[in-house]
Amino acid sequence: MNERETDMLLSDLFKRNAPYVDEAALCERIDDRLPRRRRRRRRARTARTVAVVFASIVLAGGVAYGAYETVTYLQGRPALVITDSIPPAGGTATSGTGAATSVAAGLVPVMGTATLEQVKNEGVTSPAIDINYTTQISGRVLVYELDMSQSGISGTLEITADFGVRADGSAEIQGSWVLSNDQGTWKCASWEGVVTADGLEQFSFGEALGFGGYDGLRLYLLWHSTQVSGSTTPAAVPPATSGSITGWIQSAD
Amino acid sequence: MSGAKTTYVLITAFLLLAGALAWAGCGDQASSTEGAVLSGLEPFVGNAMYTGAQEPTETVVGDVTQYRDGKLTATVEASDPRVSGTIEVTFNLDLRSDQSATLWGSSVITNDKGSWVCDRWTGAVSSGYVDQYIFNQAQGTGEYEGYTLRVLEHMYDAYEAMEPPSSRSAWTGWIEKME
Repeated sequence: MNERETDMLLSDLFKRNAPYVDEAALCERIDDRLPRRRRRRRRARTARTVAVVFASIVLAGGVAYGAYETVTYLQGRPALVITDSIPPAGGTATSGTGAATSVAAGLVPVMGTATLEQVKNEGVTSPAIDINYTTQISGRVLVYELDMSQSGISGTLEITADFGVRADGSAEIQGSWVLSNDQGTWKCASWEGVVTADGLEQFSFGEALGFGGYDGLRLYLLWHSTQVSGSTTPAAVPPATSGSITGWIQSAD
Repeated sequence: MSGAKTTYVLITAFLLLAGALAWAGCGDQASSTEGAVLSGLEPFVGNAMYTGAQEPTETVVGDVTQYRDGKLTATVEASDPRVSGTIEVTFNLDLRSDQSATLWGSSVITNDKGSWVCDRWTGAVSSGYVDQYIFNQAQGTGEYEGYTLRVLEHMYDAYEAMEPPSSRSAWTGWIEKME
């Protein structure tokens, strides 16, 4: 019951009992009570408002901190997510076979990183040495985890590679790879690469067809990685443990 | 104040404060997502059409033929207009007897907004001079000041690709803002 309702009830009470009571005496008895009661109500209302504001600030602060931590976590990821899958307009690019393709026809640029997870040496052979190479290795399997700008090409990349290393440290790489995730796979039947003479840089290029959720699409990936100078590991065997990957996706038509 | 009113005030205040704080925390990121990448890395794909060449000097040292200070010019078209323009390349190349090679040089891409200057790019060529790869890191000038361009270039059948005019060159890479 608020003050107005209380006052109206008191007024009704006065009207009903006016003939029988001494109004002056009654006023004298209640006058000193009413202000105190109103002061108490004002104090209670102020305390409640302060409590509400305080609780709101604490609650909002907690949520904002959570949002801030989430954003910080996402910003710290090494490879990031393209939210816009609409192909860019303008420009042209060529595939590995040199056939010109219009960017406007549906090329989606991609980029990301790869991290070496596993090297499998089962089934590795050393074929008869080609006179051009001091070392040859065939059938080495390398498993990478790709973290790419398009989720469709993030996943596990399994490369089966043959290496031919020259005396000066440069090398040729050939092989195939399969990139898999829960939506489908990309299969590259012919992948090729080179290692520079100082053994510090590796380049490769592969063209893959999509299957499963990626039916009708073609993926082109260029890979570049570097090794720390002074590494005692022969550069070409195996490829660097990480690297940057760029490329594009286009229709298979 | 009634219980319903208290709840209403509480929820309203919470939403207003949470919205304001979240906006303040995420504002910079939201405005930088144009180009689609959270960290500011913006991938592109393109093509270089070689239009002119100046022969390098040639010296044979053992099994290696050394080519020095050759020049190439090309027109670059890319999905990101900041990368499109004219590129002038200076190249050096050590060619082995099996026609594989290591190469390096410098380059400048220029358009009407600025340029991308690369003091040293590196590359390699597979045996038979079939596949040529180049990695180029360039610093922006003009309107591109504060940005770095990273390009991977691949040429298939590189002898033919290098012979102007040719468009057998795929460019992929990204632009990133330097902190």
